[in-house]
Amino acid sequence: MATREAGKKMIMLKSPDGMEFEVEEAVAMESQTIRKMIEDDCADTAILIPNINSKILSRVIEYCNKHVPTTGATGAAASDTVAPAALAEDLKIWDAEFIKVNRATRFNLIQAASYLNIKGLLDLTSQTTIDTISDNSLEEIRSFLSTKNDYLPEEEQTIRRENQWAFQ
Amino acid sequence: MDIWHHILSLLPLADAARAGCVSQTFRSSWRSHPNLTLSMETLRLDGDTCREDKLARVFTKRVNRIMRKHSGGVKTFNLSYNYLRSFLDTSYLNRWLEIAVTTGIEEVKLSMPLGRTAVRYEFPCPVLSNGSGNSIRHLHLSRCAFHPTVGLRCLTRLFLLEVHITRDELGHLLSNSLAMEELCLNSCHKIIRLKISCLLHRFSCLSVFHCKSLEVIENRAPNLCFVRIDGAVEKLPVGDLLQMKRLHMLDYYESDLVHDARSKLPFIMPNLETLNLSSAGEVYSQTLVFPLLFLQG
Repeated sequence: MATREAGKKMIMLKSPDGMEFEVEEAVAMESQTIRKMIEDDCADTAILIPNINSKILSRVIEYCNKHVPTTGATGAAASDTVAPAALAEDLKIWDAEFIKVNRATRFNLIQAASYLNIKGLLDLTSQTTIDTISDNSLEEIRSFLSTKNDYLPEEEQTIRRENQWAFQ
Repeated sequence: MDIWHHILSLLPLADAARAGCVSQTFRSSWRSHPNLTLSMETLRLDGDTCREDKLARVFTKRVNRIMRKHSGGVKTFNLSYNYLRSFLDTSYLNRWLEIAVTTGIEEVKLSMPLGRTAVRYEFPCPVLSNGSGNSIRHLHLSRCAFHPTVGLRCLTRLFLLEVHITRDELGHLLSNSLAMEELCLNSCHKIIRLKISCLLHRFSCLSVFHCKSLEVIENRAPNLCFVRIDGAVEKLPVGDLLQMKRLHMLDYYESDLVHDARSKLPFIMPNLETLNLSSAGEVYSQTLVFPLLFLQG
């Protein structure tokens, strides 16, 4: 149920666990998936966001609120008087704090960012995972990402041999 | 899983290869890694540790293994072979390009060895036909021969360094690649005349350096606004230049570049906003003042 508040168009987002979030349309449209729904006129009533629980959805909305362009946006974004460089620096610090979450939450955020198609959030959440893959051993990566080694021993030997150069 | 595929696609080559050993899902992401940057550095080859012919063999072996196992979907293929002068079996290279250049590829960069003793490689243009080349946006070739027979529909940036390409071949490619925005030619000695077609509406940037045989550049593209060029004022493009906004000129030899630019440019390019001149042999001694009205953007 889209409503109007102080001249700003509002959109209702609903998580599968029954929570409802009323957000400005501009904030919701940070998600390309939601943007497309709105543009295709599929967003008259509340938009159900499948597979994203209320805890994660509220964090995603928090991110979008912070990152929505300033014009006509919420108070969360900086005013026009702040220089772009300072604004970018402020966002960077905010992002670094935002991503300080446990492994499960980060993985859920990656999934949410991917489904909702929010490039900035996907880049931010992916980068932490990339750093893990770059810096750690295979066992550490598996443990960190909760990924099982599903290779047969001989298969693993073959792929390790193929990519031996990358371990040098 | 799409998310893992996305994350792994962002990894540098060696990290992506290592991650491929984590699990079967990761292996399939590695084997469809969309960004292949293949160089001594990314393949973890250190030039100081072994002889050049051995380096060349190891380089070929590593790339060949990656390409043979690749399941397709390459978006950027960037192969730098420039620090290895030893012979690279070109049949391998042709095969790698056949695997990499398929529908969906956006960028191809190929850099062949430096030096006169280097093997003259001919880029296999058939890989660009049958629509495979139609998604390429950037093409960057160094030190090879290139004889294109078709236009490339999405090509926006073409960079050719020491490339054997004739006037007709380049002309045909340019007039059939209508998305072109930028052309850079460096040391392409077979080109005598360069004509930019009026059909290239998005064409805005032209750079030409060290093309010894080039006599005339004729521009008909309506939106060309930035030119970088070496040589005297006589080397400047002719044709439609009223829309020109930025010009960089570089002259290594004795000439009066600054003097000539002052006297001629206001008439040739009256709407120029930025002019950058580097003249090594300016002999004109009089104090130079550019007309005040000229160069006011």
